[in-house]
Amino acid sequence: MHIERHVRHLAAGLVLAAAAAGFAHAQEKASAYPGKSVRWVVPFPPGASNDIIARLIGQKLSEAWGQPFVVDNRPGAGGTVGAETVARAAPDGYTLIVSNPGPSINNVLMRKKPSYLITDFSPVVFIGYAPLIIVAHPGFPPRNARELVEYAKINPGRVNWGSSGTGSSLHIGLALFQSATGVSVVHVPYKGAAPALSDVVGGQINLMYTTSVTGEAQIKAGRVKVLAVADEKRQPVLPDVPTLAELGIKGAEAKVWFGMSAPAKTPRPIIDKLNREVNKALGTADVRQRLDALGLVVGGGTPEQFNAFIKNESERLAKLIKIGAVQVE
Amino acid sequence: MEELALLFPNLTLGFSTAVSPANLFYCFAGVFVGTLIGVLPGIGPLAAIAMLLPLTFNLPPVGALIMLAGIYYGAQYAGSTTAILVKLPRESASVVTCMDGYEMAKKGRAGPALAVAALGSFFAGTVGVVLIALFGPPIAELALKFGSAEYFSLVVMGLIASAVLAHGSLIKALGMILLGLLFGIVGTDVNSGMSRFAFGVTGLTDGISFVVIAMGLFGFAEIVSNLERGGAKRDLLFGRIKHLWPTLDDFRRSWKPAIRGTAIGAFFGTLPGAGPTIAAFSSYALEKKVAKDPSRFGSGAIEGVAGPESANNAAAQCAFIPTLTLGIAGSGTMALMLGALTIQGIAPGLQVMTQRPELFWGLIASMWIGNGMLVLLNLPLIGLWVKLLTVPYRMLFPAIMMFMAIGVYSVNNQSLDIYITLMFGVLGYVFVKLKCEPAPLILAFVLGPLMEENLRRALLISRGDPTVFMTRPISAGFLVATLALLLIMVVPAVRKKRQEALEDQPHDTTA
Amino acid sequence: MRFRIKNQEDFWSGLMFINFGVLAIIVARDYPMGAAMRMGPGYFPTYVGALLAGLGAVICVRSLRREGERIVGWAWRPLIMLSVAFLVYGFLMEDRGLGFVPALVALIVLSSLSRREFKPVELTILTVALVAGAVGIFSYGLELPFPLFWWR
Repeated sequence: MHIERHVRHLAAGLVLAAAAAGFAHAQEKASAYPGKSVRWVVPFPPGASNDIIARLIGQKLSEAWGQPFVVDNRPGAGGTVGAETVARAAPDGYTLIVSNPGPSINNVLMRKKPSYLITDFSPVVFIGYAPLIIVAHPGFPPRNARELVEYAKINPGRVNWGSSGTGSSLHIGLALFQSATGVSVVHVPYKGAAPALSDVVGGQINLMYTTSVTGEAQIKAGRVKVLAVADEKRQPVLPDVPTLAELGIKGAEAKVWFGMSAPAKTPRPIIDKLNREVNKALGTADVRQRLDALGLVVGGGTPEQFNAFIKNESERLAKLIKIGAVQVE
Repeated sequence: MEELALLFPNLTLGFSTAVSPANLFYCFAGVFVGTLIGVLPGIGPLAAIAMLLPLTFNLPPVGALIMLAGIYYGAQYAGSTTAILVKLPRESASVVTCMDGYEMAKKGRAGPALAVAALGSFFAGTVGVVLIALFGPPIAELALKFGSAEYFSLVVMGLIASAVLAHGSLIKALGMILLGLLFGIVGTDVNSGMSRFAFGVTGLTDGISFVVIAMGLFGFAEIVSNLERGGAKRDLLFGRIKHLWPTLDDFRRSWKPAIRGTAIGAFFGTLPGAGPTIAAFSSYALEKKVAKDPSRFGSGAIEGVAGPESANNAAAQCAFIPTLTLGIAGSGTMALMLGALTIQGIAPGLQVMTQRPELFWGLIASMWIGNGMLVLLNLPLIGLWVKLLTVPYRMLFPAIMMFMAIGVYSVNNQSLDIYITLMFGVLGYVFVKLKCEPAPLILAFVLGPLMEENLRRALLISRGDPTVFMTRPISAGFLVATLALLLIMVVPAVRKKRQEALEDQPHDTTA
Repeated sequence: MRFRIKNQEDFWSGLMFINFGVLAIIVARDYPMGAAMRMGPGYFPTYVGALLAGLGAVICVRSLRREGERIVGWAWRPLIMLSVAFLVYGFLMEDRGLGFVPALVALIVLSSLSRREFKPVELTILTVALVAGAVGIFSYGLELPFPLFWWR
């Protein structure tokens, strides 16, 4: 028995020592980080919001550390291709990803056999989010979301609700709305938000979820009307539009969000270093102004907060899948 | 006509904004970069604009927009260069330019082909700018009338028209169209989110990219068949250059196609999606139909370059109309331009014309200036390009292989695309051997996803009622036109004549 | 009874169309067909595949009756060498490959081998010039994020 205990102690000691060495090594690595150029994978094509955000913040990080943060566009399969690349990359802090509901949550939960898991990533920092708003063709009778619910109940299956694709954030938002209100509308998927919006403006479909920045021009021109904001608070750019909660619709809040993540097992000191620097960048006036122009509510905070946020969002989607509001492919 | 009365002061404002030294510089920088990326593989206008976007954060909005727009239409302009010289189409609209442009190059007439493409594009660009200035808003309204039913019918018409492109058997051309539709299905289904024909490969879930299929079917297959046809014996693949510039006869043949092409392009350009492609193919089909001797098409007819090139560029200019006036982007590049505007704190839309007239009209004026710069930039380059073709083919083809490989890889930064290009290359060579024209296949490949998506969406919105395609007037119009096209092709008498014309056609194209 | 294929080009084209069409139908059997209002992902490919196969059959039958050309002169050597060149390039450009420069060298040299004559000096000069140009334009000019060699 004694021997066994000794062995156990010895083993524990060895593990501790190894961990300490590893920690010291990681510390040393973190202070030297970044020692070469960092690849920040954007799992979408150039020009998408993710891409603009990465270029904006990447520029700040490059300036701060004197090492280039190279934006690497790996589009494909709604972000799955890029996310796969990063999930399989070495966890050394030199490969990062712009996380976003599609690649980080939806594509994993909505597939029977996902090629990577949510836990394959370590969240670094929450960059910000854009609340979704419901926009409708001006000729569509309901004037706000409460009237919309009544209208949809009288006319079941007659309302055409567009989205930027099956499994997109806009589609999940619609599913949340339907499960919160019990109404049934026809989901009309498009290849992206722009063609869907164009069809709302042209009156081909009745309404859709979108972000305020995508819809801004149409709202200002009076070509669409806004029925509700799907966020906890009203939007500064749309002060007169009530939130869903104000209209009595609870638990249907929906947003498109952005953050930075690293492959799982990336050393903690490197994650902290990145977190601090991105928070610093988010605090500068010019970044704030640019993100504001993109309609983003600027985020920030610790990696833990971001992790908790992702967990919460994925649980909401898991619930939707369970009740059959969205189908798994 | 309120617009006309205001046009003069507006254009004055525009030109006074555009000719400031700084804005002239941005314009030049834009078209220069655009020309460069239009000729080089590996980086499209979309990626170039995205890379330069952070640079423009610190520019004034007018300058930023002028430069980004310059990149866009500069690249569109130069996209025909590689199509004519080495049969490498950069985007789907250039596929049409390949058909006769490259044949001209093989006959030693690369110079006239390039010059006519440049001049036709300049003409079309100029008209496009005037159209935006005069009729932007009403044209944009028309585009809004296009729902899924209209798009479906339009695509059906485009597909049937593309059968005219093939100068071989009509029934084989129809087969190639269907095959193209099948290749277009590869990828994620928009309606269900299911991935189809991807065989479990993640890299295929977004479908096959255009560059991959075009480089394979055109670029790769062309090199193999050139090496087959005595490329080992003769080092000069291209005919002796008789003259660098178009002859009077070339001009006489080209001006009408250029005007018709411009009109077609202006119409289709405002439709988001496949505007420039449908415009270019339609223009080619029209020119072939009105030509006295249609058999010349496909073996170096200058009309087949002038028309489609003008159509393509008119469409590219007119793509700005919905973007600027409605704030609705029809393509990724246009979405990026909107992004550039937004990040500068400007909401695109009609109010830009009233609130920031110097921005709107400055951009329009600069587009005209930029088109002029492109001609000045491109015409002297023609000499250089033509000289390039005098390089012995044994040295030229490894260079073309390299350009293709780099270009294909950099689309998605994945080797998988190289392997798929190879598969299409081999298939393309089989097509050459079987005398199956690949152009209709490519058009169907590009338009197929649009066709299916809109067919399904139209029926979803109509709750399964197929009569929507006939009860909506614009859609019905396209379908009637399609029927007419089919009749022209299938009526036996016409068909017989077609066959005779084809048999007269000389087979030796390398002369 | 012996039958002769009068038009080889058409016969093989038809056969190719039939193959692609049937393949599409078989693969699409895994996808739901749906109804007219909500067409499933299998609807469109099945019908296109069926049309293609039918058209292919018509072309095949016609080829037995109409006189046409024979298929001759396959360029096997270029076809194989250029294919190998592309395969090797793709392989070397993989995430754990040797990098951009070795991939380019392999591509150019292998491509050149598709011709029978072999001029080592000319090929060396051509390779060096093309690789230098490509690296200059794409890696430095356009800053494409390809690692140049395996160590970076």
